[in-house]
Amino acid sequence: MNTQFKKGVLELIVLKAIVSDDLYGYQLVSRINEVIQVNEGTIYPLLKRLSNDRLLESYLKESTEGPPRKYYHITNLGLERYDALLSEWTDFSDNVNAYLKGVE
Amino acid sequence: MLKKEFLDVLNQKLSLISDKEREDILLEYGTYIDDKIASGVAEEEAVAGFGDVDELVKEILDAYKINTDSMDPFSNRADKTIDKVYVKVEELFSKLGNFSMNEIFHILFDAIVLVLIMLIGKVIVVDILCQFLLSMIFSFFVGFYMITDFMLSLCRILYLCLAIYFFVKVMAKRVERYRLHAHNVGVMDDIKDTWNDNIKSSDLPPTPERPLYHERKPRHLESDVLKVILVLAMIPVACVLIGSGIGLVVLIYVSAMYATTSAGLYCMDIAFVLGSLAILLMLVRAWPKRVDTNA
Repeated sequence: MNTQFKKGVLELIVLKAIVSDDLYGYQLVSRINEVIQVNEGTIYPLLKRLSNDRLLESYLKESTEGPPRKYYHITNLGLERYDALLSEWTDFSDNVNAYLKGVE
Repeated sequence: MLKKEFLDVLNQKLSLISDKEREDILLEYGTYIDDKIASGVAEEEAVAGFGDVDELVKEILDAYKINTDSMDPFSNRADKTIDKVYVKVEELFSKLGNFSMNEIFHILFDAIVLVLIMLIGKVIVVDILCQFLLSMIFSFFVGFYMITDFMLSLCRILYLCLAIYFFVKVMAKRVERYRLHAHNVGVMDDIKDTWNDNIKSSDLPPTPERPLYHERKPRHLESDVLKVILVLAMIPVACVLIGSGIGLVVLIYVSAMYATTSAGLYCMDIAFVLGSLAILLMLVRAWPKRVDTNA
């Protein structure tokens, strides 16, 4: 799949994955990989960027095995951003789809 | 690549990021790999999932708002390499004292000048004067060639020792001058000054603070490079001058001793002397003006 497409939509998918419950890195990547195949390495920088923008916050939680895990939790700001992105995406994809259908 | 190796590489390449943040990143990637292995993926495969490490590093740095674009284009990389070499050399010399590249060039140049002066001195003192005197003295005693040769080599060794002593002494003084950033004192002044004692610190300007890298004035490297080229051009001309000068002396000697004169040889030799002198003067005129790095 076109990597440019993925890049644009990745933030929306990450926010969607984390809306319902807090997740740690590996879980998050697993969920995203159900929808699109992404380079696993790029998720961490994205999470870092979202944390910097205060859309996400992280906390450490003890795990049954190994070192404590870092969980990500969506903030109110993140929820707002998610809603905005979702409606933008819906409009955008509707328009593109409609146009493409019209051509055919 | 295995997990440890991967984390080591990451640690090294993310050195721009603060220790605390870096630890955090490494912990994240470490636990991620552990999770992946726990889910049944081989260690190597788990690491390979991250793709190209350099790409990954770029993305991470990007997320930390560290701009890596300027590091990418080839021309910039070449620039950086030159800069790196430059800084490395400067660092190396800085260990010896507080020198900038410009000063290092000056020291090298001064050394070349000194060696030249001593070579000329050797030709004049040992090869001409001593030989002449010795042959004058011992020509009265037939069969003392051995002693003449011995005395001559003694003279050579003596001159060599003196020259080395002189060179070391003057260069030590030069280096000290540059360490104190006294550019206004030329190498000739120091040569005249050699037999005085050490530099009086009172008549030197106070040592300026070494400026930080970005505050430094653009270096006048071009003028230094020009100087080196000029010196290199001067060496053969100076050799011609010395050679034709010796030739002239020999011609005069021969014509005085054997009463034979060759006008053509005289003309040629004088032409050589004047020609090389003119070229030498021209090169000296082309000498760049001393840049006052203290101002």
